[in-house]
Amino acid sequence: MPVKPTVSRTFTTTAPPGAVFDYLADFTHAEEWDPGTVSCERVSGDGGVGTVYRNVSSFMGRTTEITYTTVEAERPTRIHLIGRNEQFEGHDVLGIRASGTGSEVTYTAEFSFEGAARFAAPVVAAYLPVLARKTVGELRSCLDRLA
Amino acid sequence: MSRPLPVRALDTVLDRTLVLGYTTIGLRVRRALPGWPADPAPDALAGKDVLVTGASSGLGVATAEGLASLGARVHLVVRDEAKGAWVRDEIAGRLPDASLRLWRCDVGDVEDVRRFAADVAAELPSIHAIVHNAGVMPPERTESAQGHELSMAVHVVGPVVMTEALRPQLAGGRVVLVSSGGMYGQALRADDPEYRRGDYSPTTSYARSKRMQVEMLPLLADRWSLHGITAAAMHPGWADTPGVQESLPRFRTVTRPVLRDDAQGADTSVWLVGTEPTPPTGRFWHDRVERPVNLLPTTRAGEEARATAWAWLRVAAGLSD
Repeated sequence: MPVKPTVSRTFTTTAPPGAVFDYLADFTHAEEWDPGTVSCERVSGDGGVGTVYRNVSSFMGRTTEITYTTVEAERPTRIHLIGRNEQFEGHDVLGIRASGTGSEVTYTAEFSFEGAARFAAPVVAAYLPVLARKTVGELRSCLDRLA
Repeated sequence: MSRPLPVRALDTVLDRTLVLGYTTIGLRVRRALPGWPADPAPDALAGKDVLVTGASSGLGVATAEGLASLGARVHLVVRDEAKGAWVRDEIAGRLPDASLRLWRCDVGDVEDVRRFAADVAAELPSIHAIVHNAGVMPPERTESAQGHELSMAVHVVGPVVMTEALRPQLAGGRVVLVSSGGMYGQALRADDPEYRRGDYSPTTSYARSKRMQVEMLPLLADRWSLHGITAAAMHPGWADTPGVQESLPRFRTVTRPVLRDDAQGADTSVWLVGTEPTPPTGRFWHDRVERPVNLLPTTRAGEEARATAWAWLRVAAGLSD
């Protein structure tokens, strides 16, 4: 079976679920919260299911273009995007739940690789905890500013 | 809850060896270890209404009795009212002060669940908890009134419909899904949630539906958090229940001396309902401690499968936004 590196982190923010959802469902905001994203623009769609984004990411020293599509958007609890290019398929899933007056957010990223790139999977798996720490740190401070 | 490292190590070894941890031996050892989470206060549930489905046999009786002994007004939700009445009188004989109320509901039938929920909502302004304990292991592939495979209907669809319908009453309350350690052996079958393909096996079907509960739990927990409701799944270990006696006779013959009794199997359900502060939501529990949902890499669900299963559940349970 293919290697699918996965990472999942849960954190709390002072922003309420609706605000967290509205911010994250607009994936162009990845420019702010995802340290790997260089640029992200909406290509088509209204922000709901089926919306397509062109994302330029810098990942482990290499710049790649990835097309992201929103596959689930259930306000205000769940957002799921699939990112694809010739060698890569990635899932970004955000689970949002009420916690006190703020929210608890679970960020899950799953990666799989095609062709020669699949040999990179173990390296990515090893690098994921670092990536996750950076991402969650940025994400939380962006969300806290919404509150 | 911080526990010394050797204690955590021993507890984990018990858990991963399944047979040791899930039997009566595991619970006895754990209870004796330092850091065992405290029992709920003796009157923790005084004046609170708690629903227990499948309350007329096995773990359900023990769960109802455990909750009643903490002072809860226990609502026994059963399919067979005659059997339910007998169980109610049995519990009342042992706990004369218990407040016990009998309700009829076929959890496998979405229409009956909706009817039941409306009846309950008309009477109870507030519900502290529901323990979704009702279980079936059909010997042949069976369909519910709505055409769902019956173990999936009873363990997943019915509990979700019931909880959804009672969200206003459950605000600030708790939901417990009684799962099974058997789910560790099965992957999420989002491609075939109704078991239409391949040869039907009662135990596989049962375990798949229990896997579905556990995989959908985090999504349900997020959804229900908006009403301040927390959700937990737990597995009771290997208990000597009618389910095991009828469906797994060989398993029972071999393991009977160390199988748990019903009260031991119900312990974590009762604890989850009664303990303070409210345990964190969306977690899987066994013997009062959060446990992993996968022990094998081959059962780990991908995000695509989880999304597909969720889409199926949304339709089956009629979830609206």
